Amino acid sequence: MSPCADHDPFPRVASSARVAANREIAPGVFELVCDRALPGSSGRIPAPVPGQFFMLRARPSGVLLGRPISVYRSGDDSITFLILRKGAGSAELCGLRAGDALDLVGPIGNRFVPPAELCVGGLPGFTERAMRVALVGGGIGVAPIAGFSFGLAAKSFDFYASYRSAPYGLDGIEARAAKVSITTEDGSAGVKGMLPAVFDAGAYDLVYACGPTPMLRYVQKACADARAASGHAASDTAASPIAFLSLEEHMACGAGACLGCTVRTTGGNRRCCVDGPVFNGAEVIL
Amino acid sequence: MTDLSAAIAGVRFRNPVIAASGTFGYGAEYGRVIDVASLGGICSKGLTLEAKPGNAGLRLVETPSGLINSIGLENPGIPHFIEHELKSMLALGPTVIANLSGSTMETYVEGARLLDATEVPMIELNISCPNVKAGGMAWGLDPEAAGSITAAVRKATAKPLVVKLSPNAPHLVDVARAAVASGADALSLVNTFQSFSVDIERGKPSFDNVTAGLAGPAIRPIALRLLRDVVLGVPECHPNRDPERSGSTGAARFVPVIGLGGIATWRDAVEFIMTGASAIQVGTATFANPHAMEEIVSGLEAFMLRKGYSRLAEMRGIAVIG
Repeated sequence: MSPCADHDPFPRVASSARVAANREIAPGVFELVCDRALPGSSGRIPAPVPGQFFMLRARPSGVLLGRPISVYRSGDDSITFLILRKGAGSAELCGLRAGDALDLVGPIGNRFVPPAELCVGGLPGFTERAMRVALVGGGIGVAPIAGFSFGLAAKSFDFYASYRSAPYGLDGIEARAAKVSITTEDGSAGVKGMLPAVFDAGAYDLVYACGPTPMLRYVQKACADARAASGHAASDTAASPIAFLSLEEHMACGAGACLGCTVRTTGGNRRCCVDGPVFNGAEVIL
Repeated sequence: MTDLSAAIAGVRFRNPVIAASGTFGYGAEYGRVIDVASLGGICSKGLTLEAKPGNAGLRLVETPSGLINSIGLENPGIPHFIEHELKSMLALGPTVIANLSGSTMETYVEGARLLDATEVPMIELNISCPNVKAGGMAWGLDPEAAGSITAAVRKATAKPLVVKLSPNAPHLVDVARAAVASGADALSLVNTFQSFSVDIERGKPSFDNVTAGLAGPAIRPIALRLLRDVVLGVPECHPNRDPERSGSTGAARFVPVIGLGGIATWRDAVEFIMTGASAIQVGTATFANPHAMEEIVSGLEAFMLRKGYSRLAEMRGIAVIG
């Protein structure tokens, strides 16, 4: 049983919702806040757990389908997303203003299982000492990783964030992480370069990552190499370091019905939307 | 009192709104966001005798008002479906249709035999999937091939048989006639339109399987025109033979047509029904709006009340027979 094979059991809505705020926090990156109270009803958007996402579409919209967007922050009254302006669908979302409507479906997907629950699960060798935890975000993939970090004990994790240029999505991280390492490809902040310039997988038991596929491939391989170096099979899904990789795929339904977002794993096909988006790096084939 | 019920080849649907194959899984997937029991029917994902992993590479490209898919009939195989999915699907309430796909005639026939021994009330023979290399749509492009596969499956099952047609057939009306002559109890049309997309960053086709099927509102007016062609071009499908319509003697054989292709609202559904569809299927619209089918059911009912139609038959085909 893979430690992250945690099938999506959470309540979900498909509804119109209200934008509470939207602002550009870095060039082309928007922080969109959505009210959890649903307009015109007593309903509320169910609280997401870290790692889940929503299908979002502006209303009205010129695109057909919602776009899968990870949760950045979740509170009693609102849910906050970070959105990278990329194509027509995300551009519409980035152009929304307070009071505008959007259509959403969610929360969708499994979650990042926190270290404390993995310890309770009795992973061999992990109970004797505190687990060494790395959180790794690449670009807009920082959003769900940062969101996850707020549920973890302060100073219980190291935080890695890699960007092309200006960093974003790091509010409050410095105070909570044991260590923060930033890379930028243009050298405008932190270490110039990409994640491998600062990251050593062998120093960790658990690595939670979200970002572009090449970065996830690197994290997957670095963790497999570190397992092999410590005498474990690279394919061992419960040996340290375990990589929990949050994937992004093109999606249509966000319900597990269309099979458009199929991900290949050593155990066969999985649906990124409802079997993921978080997969064990020892199982998923990238 | 407005009666929304539809009868297709003796099989009753509480309303004419059916979830299209491949867009609704096995019925339970949308259960947490919509009232699945309010639908008229649910078509299963396309089923093949053996399990299929589906196509590698990118599977979806969105286009203006459309969606190109290259799923490739990913499914657990008919024996797995019968053992694991069918029972819970039947328990959902809506009338269940098993969508039967295949490659060779033998796999279609064997699949039909297995389904024939189950409780499933209806089989939709898919000879129109454009996303598999062997079989699939190849059976639906040519009248002779369509006739032979329909006849073979007809022999293998006593279940009411719907034949799902491809809009890519050069002469769709001839294919429809062949399916009807070979034992189809009903037709459904249309499946997706063969299309092509380029990944301009790589300078290569977007899809590993090169061509793929276009669906969604973009295809709707063409699907509607093809429905009209078939309804007027296949004598058995003509509204004049519809036993539910006043003036029909009910003596001659009637083969109802289920219309689909880009239906997203109740207005679209009314257009298809007025063009002669006895029921409609909704696919891509559910992805864009999970409540689309529920809204179509309630919108249809309100429209019929406003217009004074007590049964679907009163408006069926009125736009094409004058």
